[in-house]
Amino acid sequence: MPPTERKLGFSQLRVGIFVLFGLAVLAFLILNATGDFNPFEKTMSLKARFASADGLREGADVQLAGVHIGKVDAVRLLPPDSPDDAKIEAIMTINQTLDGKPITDRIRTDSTAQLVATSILANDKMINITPGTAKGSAVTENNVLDSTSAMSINQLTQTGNELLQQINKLAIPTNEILNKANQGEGTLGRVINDESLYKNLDSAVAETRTTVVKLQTTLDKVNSGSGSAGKLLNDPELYNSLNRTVEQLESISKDLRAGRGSAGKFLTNDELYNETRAAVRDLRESVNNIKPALEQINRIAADVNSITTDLNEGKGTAGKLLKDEQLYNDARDSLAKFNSTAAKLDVLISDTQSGKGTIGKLLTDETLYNNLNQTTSNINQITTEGTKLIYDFRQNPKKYLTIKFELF
Amino acid sequence: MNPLKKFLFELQEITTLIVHAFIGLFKKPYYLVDLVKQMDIIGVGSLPIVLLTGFFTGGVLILQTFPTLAYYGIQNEAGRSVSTSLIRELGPVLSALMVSGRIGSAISAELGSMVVSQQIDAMRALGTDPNRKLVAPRILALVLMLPFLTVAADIFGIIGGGIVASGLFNQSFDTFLTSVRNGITIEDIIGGLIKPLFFGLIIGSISCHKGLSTTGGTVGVGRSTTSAVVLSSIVVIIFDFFLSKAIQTILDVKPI
Repeated sequence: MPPTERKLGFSQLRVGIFVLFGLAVLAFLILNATGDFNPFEKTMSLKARFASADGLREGADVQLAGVHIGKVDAVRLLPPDSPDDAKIEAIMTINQTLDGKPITDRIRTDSTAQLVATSILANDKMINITPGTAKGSAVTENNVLDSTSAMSINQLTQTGNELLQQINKLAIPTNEILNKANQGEGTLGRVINDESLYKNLDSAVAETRTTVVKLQTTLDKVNSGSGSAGKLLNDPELYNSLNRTVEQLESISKDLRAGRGSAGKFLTNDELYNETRAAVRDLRESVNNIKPALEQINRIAADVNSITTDLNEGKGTAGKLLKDEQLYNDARDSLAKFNSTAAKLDVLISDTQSGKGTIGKLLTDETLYNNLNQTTSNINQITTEGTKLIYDFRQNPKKYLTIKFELF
Repeated sequence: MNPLKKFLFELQEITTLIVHAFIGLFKKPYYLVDLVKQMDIIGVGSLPIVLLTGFFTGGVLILQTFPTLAYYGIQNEAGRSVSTSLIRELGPVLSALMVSGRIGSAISAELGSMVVSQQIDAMRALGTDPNRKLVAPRILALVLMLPFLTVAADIFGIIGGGIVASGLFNQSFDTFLTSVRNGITIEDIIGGLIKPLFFGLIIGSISCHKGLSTTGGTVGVGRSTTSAVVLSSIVVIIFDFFLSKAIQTILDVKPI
């Protein structure tokens, strides 16, 4: 039974105090075991400045190369006159030790703070600090880290959207082109659908191969020194003769320079030059004389031009000849008729040649000719006879003209 | 008496009560008949309210989460949400709260009236330790029966969820059961069965203490009954938080 209430002192509540203390320690240990609740952990604060918080909230994760080391304590706007890439300041509270070593071994003054998205879907951000190198010195309390901002999903989707629109624009003509190509229209369509190109290419390649083989053999021959090309490459004789020629040329040029011979005089003597000048002067005068002739020609050309315009407009006979289709049509008809006539003639002639019909026989059958010949020779004979007869008749007309006067 | 001293005094009294009851379990005479009788009253007697609570809790969980899950197209995983939340958290806590309402009040009222009518004093005078005869069987019965009641509540919660899913949302019961199985891990079940052991101890010790420390006649009985239910419910919920944290850490429960 409990003692009376007034007399109760702390000394009589030892069990209660002990149990309460035990429960408190147990609760603390339970919370501390997962590492979420570390009231005795020493922390330090660092700062990073960004252009925009863009989803960064108080309590967001702070990671060192992906490992959780602290939290964002506050996100603050900087004064309005601050530079564009540092409009907000995030104050991070990070643990002073990591795996028993001071965090300043890893976070150096050359570490950078990146604003990165926690997931693709959400726009929540956290800060990732890159590990520093030995070049930098250890960070101190309230150090402002250099910052870079990773591309947010919003920016990414915006860029992607623009890209998609461009692709869409591109896709419509591409589709049309591909459709046409599928149907075999145009060069591309032929390239895709027609096999002849492939065959041509294939035969071209085969030909090329044989050509290359031939070239190879030719080159082999050339190398071995046979044929003209081989001699050109391998025989020193040409070179020697060329060399000799060049030497001779050299001596000729020397002579020329010295003014020997006609060519030398041509180069060195002024006389020829003077004559040439006089000739040029004469030529100039002739040109001046030619000028009026040219004007005349010009006028003729203008006339011809006007005639041509008339012709173009179809005036006059020649114009009609050019412009009026009647003549052309007539000519066409005539030609057609001529053609048919010619064809008929052709048939006729071929018939004739083969000996059909009268004319054919006339041409091919020799009997008529023989008969005619015979007849002609007969006629000839008759004519000679006739001639003789007439001659005879003239000589002795009495022979024939016996007029008998018979009187009763 | 200042509140701090009062709180410490209560804590001390409850601790000594538990210790005495625990020691009394291993000493003759064993009050096995009392234990069985209390198990019947506490366990079997509380079954209907616990089953009803579990059934409708599971049903309302599906009712509230199914449209949201369907919005994201994962309504086939609706059973997972019910099984995880019921087995990990709602089954133990809701059964403990129902039992503290029904049994905690009964224990403190019974013991309080015995104190008021001086039956406890008479018992002590006759050489029977009320801690062993009255307190130990009640606490032990609660510690033993509450896990069973929790399991019953879990099962009926899953059944209730399944009925709502198939009846109201036209999801096949097999789909629901498959996702329930996917949601349950052995760590969840072990953690869900460790919690009611502590809850039984809390409800029993607080209710017995409140009953035995009743003063002020029949009015005091009512006061101690109310405070027993309120205090045990609050302590159950507070302990639930720390127990969950401890179980998560010790059993390394993976988030689903």
